[in-house]
Amino acid sequence: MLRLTLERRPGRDDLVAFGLAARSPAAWVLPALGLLPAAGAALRPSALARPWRMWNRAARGYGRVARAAVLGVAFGVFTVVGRAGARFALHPSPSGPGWTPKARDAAGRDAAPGATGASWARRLLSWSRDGENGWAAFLVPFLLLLHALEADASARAAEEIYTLY
Amino acid sequence: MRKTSRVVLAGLAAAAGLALLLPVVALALPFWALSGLQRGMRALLAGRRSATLPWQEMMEFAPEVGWKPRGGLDARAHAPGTPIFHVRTDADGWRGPQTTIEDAGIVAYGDSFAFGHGCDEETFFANLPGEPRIKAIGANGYNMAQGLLWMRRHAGRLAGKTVVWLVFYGNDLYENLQPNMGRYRMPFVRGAGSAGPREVVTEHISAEPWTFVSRTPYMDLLAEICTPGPLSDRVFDAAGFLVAEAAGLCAEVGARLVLAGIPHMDALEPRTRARLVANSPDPSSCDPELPDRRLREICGRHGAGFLALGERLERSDYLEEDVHWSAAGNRKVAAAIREVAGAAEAGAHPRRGASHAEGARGGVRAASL
Repeated sequence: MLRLTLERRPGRDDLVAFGLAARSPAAWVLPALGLLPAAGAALRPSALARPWRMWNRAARGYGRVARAAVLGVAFGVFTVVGRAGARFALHPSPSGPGWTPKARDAAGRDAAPGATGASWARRLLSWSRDGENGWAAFLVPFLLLLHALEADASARAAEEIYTLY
Repeated sequence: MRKTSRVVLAGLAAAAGLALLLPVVALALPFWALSGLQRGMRALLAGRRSATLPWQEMMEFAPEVGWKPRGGLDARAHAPGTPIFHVRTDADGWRGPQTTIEDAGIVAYGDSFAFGHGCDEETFFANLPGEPRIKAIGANGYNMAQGLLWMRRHAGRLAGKTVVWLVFYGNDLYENLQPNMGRYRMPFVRGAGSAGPREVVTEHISAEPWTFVSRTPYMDLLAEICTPGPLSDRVFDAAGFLVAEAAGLCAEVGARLVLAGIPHMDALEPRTRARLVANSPDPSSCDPELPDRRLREICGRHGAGFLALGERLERSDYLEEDVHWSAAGNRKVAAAIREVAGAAEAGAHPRRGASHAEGARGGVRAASL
């Protein structure tokens, strides 16, 4: 998955890898020559901490601006789609209430898409297809871009583990 | 018709929007590229241990003691506020898989300090080269009751060894009295401060979350423990009971017991020490070195040694934004533990004079007296 920033608190390996990666593409020859450990040992992690922080600060700043731009454009899609009118009844209908029954499957369970385990993108696409909201599928590229522009993506803990809390 | 027009309009708008965002994507490319290259290079450097685990995935439920580290780990631990650190555990979940209890001359029990939170395998005090070898038995969040339970389980393997019990004043002493740490059930001492018997309680231990959780103001509690009063008396009564149990066990199996008191880093510098004292219900009688004095006296009563690590450590021996030891701190601790184990084996318990401690603390301590 694309990530904009580096780890907030790097370990020694992270700093050495940063120093090597920043010298790319030359650094990528080192593993082939078997020189990677020696090259890593030659770098001083303490000297790389400041460049690391500066790079992360620039990435976070850029990410804030970029996410705002993507959100603005994505809301523009909503605005344009709204020109085709809305199905939502803004005024009460003389024929009765505006509630519609929830879809149920054969066993009586909620049939709305959203099975656990499916990714959010798959659930959104499933909803847009099944709920006759095909236009919403065009939001997925913007949402993916927003995800890729997030700063400091934290590791997600597995479910059903003792120390989740 | 309306549905079709919405889809068409959305498609056209999305295409136009994505075209507008091309410069955004172009500017993001260097950041994505370096991030990806760095992670790839790290994977090549670190090999198997490139997997990053949040700390919650490194612990598992353990009957009677509540929790323990997972066995067979070789991963980079990710904990908020702490630099990522490389952790390897043996089959039982204890750090330093290259050393067993049988190999070691020193077995160190404790909490996250004994686990080596925040330090890589190469800088962890128990893994540093030297004699005698050290095996650390610790997990984040452990109180002294949990340490005692593990000593009992390992009793048959401790003969001839020095048992070093690392006790962090920041929370261990208080949590000896608590049945829980947040949502986790924890063994505790019942009866402390009362006329009745004291005992370690484990009947409530299960994987079920503890139902009643309240905020624990650790620094306020530490300040109160450093101030003579009811809480301080209960805390040291519980600690005294646990030390007595451990000393009895060690004497029975032919091991030597040494307690090592770990100060909170705030107690090591005048400015932060003054802030700690100010949190006390009675700052005029608060003494951050009270735990050292009380535990030294308790150890003396039960024939155990005492090592005041506050007399060996400075603020720079702790991580910058974390209460745990830095690489330098780990080196000092390893040296101190080996020194005191050597003295214990020779039948003496080295103790630095009070005059040295007073000189190290300077004006603030003089004011608190």
